[in-house]
Amino acid sequence: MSFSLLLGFTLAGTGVGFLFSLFPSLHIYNVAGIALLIWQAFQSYIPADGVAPFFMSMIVAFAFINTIPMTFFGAPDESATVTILPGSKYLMNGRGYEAAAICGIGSLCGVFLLPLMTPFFFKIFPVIHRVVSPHMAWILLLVMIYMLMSEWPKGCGMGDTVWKRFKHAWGNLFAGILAFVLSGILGLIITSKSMISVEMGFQNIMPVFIGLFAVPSIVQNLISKEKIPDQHISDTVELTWRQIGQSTFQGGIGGMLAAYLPAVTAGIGSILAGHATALRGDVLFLMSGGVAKVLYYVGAFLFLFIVTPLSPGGLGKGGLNVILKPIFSPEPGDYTIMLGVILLSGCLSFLLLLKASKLTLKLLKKVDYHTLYWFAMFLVMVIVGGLTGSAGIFVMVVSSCIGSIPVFFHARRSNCMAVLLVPICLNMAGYGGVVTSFLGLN
Amino acid sequence: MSSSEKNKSPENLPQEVLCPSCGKFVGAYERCPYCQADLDNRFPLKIARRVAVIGSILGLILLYFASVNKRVETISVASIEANHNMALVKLKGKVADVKTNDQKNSINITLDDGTGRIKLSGFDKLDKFKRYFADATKSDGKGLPGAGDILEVKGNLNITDKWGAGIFLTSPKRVLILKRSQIEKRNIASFSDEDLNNVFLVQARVKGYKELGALKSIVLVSNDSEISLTIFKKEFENIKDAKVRKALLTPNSELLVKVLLSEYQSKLQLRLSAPEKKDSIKVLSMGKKISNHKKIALKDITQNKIGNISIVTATVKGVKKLNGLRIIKISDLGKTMDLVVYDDIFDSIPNEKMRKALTKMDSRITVTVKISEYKGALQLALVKLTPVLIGSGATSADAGEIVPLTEVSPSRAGETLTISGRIKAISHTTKGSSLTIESQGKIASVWLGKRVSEPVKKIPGLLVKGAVVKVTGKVTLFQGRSQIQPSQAKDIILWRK
Repeated sequence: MSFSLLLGFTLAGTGVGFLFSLFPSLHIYNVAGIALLIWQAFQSYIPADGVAPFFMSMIVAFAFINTIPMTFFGAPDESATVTILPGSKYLMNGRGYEAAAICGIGSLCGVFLLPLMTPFFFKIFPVIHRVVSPHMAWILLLVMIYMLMSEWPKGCGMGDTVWKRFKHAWGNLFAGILAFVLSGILGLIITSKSMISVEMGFQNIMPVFIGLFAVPSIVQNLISKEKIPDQHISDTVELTWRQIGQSTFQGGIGGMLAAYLPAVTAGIGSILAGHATALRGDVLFLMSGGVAKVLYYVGAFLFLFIVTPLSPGGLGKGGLNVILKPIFSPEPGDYTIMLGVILLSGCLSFLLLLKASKLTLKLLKKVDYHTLYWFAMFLVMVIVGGLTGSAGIFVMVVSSCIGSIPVFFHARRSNCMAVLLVPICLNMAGYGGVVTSFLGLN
Repeated sequence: MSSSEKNKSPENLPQEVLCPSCGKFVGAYERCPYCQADLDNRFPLKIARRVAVIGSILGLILLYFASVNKRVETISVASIEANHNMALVKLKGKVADVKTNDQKNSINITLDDGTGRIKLSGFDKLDKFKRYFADATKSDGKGLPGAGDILEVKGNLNITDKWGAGIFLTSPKRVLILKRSQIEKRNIASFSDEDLNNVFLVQARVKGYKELGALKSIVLVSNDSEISLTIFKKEFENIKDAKVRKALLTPNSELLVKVLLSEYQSKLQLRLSAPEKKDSIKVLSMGKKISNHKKIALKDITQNKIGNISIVTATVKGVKKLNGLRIIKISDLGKTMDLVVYDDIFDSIPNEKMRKALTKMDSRITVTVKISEYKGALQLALVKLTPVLIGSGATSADAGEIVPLTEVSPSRAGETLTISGRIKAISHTTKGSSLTIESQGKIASVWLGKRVSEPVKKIPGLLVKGAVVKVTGKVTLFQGRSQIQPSQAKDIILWRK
């Protein structure tokens, strides 16, 4: 593939990723799905070599630019449900731009971390994969147990009766468990007997994720009467080298866990890494969140290119792998090209992030963010309805109700990842068929 | 604070707590107690929570019933596209192949629906499948699906660029055997393209076999028709009965075999159907080895033996490749003859090692040949599908058979011969010892190199004039004259007739 073509696709992917990542609640995997359909329609005109650089640069841009809706519009995706709180705090203190910049610096560290980890990826990682993969079922089970148990205990509640105090103290925990159980059942239904048509089979899970994460955020923000205070655009950020090191370390662990373990997102990885490293602080949360996001989104796709004798098909996982695997398979040597794409796209995306953050803040002064959210709601309905029809809308509505439970009960939104964790864990343990048979879904 | 002070509207109170009509402080009231205006109120979270919980439970129940009752769409293999990845589909077709792996506990079924083929993979599910299909209450109880069976399968498509489309079989309940294959007994000659991917019972005789890499190609013959039965190494190993495995490789074995008619490179061929099952191959009679034909020495081949099939042992002395055939010069006991090997017969030689031996200079071979003549000269033709037994390069005399001294001639150069006679003359040099052996008025030379002569000299009575010795060694040439050259001391011994 010629350099100019490679550069062209990288820039195009960065541009597309930049544009669509600005929309609150719109996930890049949804955009990737639409891009795949467009590519299939025009594949005789678009070189096949362009697929990987285009989608890789798109996902890199998303990992950066997604910070903007997350921070300024309070619209986190499944990867950022932990970092949203410090980001909101910064926003309400007029430091939203700084929060976005800190997150962006974290993402940039993640981009530079990936090439540095290349020897680990090729020499040690495949061996780890060989050893760990037969045990994935119980590892995921432990992750789920840890996710639930790490919320406990919460302390005593307030109220003048025992029942009120109990409700206050434990209400959100039980809500979290309820969200987990309902998401798990939803996942079993969707993965064994989806309502989505055959033609859109590759977007089976899209209405579910939009319902679980995007729509509740939109609803929450539409209900909210909160006014965003004036934001200060600073030239410097409150960040030390020590914090950069600690964040990169914590985010690296969280991101790697999320990139490797199936159905574990950056949010869950960040929880695990945060507890493992015992590092605290809003800056650390924000920056490590940025690192984790890049490793989670970009790393998971980059692993597809780790072609070794122990991993002849690569080690990739994640939504983009599922979308692209029918049309693309990696070749040895593609890894280096992808590193170049990541570095270029990452650096460009960081610069775009800073610029776009300033522009967004200016826009927010003139446009009520509720208008943006109504538009976002309209957009997701059009995407879901257009691609998956009424069946998809129905699934989205059900998922929205489930996803709203942790939002309105102040529980962890990452509990909704049970939608994938439970079916994957059961299938890997060999009990998926038994459970779905019991439910009559066979 | 007095009520009048309370009713004042200080500038620092938020707008939400003031009545928009009269401007008085109203707090959380939904209707102004002063002017009765309706007030904007904040959305109560309690409603949102209840809607979330009730909506999710009810919605999930509805979704569950909708999913359970959903009809899975039937598609054809040819219509599968990239965007169908992960879709739940139903496929109907005929089983083209079933592979099981007990070690990995996996089952792989290739399904052909007439528009294409798709692989159905059940990783770590073989035991569940075996139990399910053996249970008459759950299925027909006749065991795993076999080649030729008509199946209906439900599953999620897994499409990759490298491997194409496939389905992961998560449960045996998703595989429905609509019709078991009726196995018809057929003659090889009656097979046609319309019978492809069907299972038949064939009675045939093994004509021969050859090994091609990881598979064996066995030629079955019946009523003058022949067809190849291709068996992969793994399938061959899956045949539990050693007698069956032997019969498959023994020419003239009569077999009754359950086979699947397939094709390779537009040529019809047979594949074993379920080789691991006992009843898939029945040995009706065990064949006899072709090598039970009579052995004959080259020198005994005469005109009156033309047309006979015999076994000869000889040394390869030369190979000439011509168009469509090879002429191999073979020699034994002074007699040299041409062995004609046509290309198709050369290709039918069971394995590469045998083919190499046939064309390697000085290799000792035993072959099955048909005695024929060409332009008045006797020649031999290699019989198709017969093995080429490889000797150690020793002569037919390597068992100790003594040859006349006249055999020690330049034409036998390189061969190992055994002679005996009386030592007529000995001469010792710094490099070794030279003997002249005499027997029946003929003489032959023997050269013992220093390494051989030194230990031999120590044997009393051996290296003396008049001693009768037996010598085994290679025929070499020295200054144009042939001699026997033993390679070790024990090749020369005192000999008593």
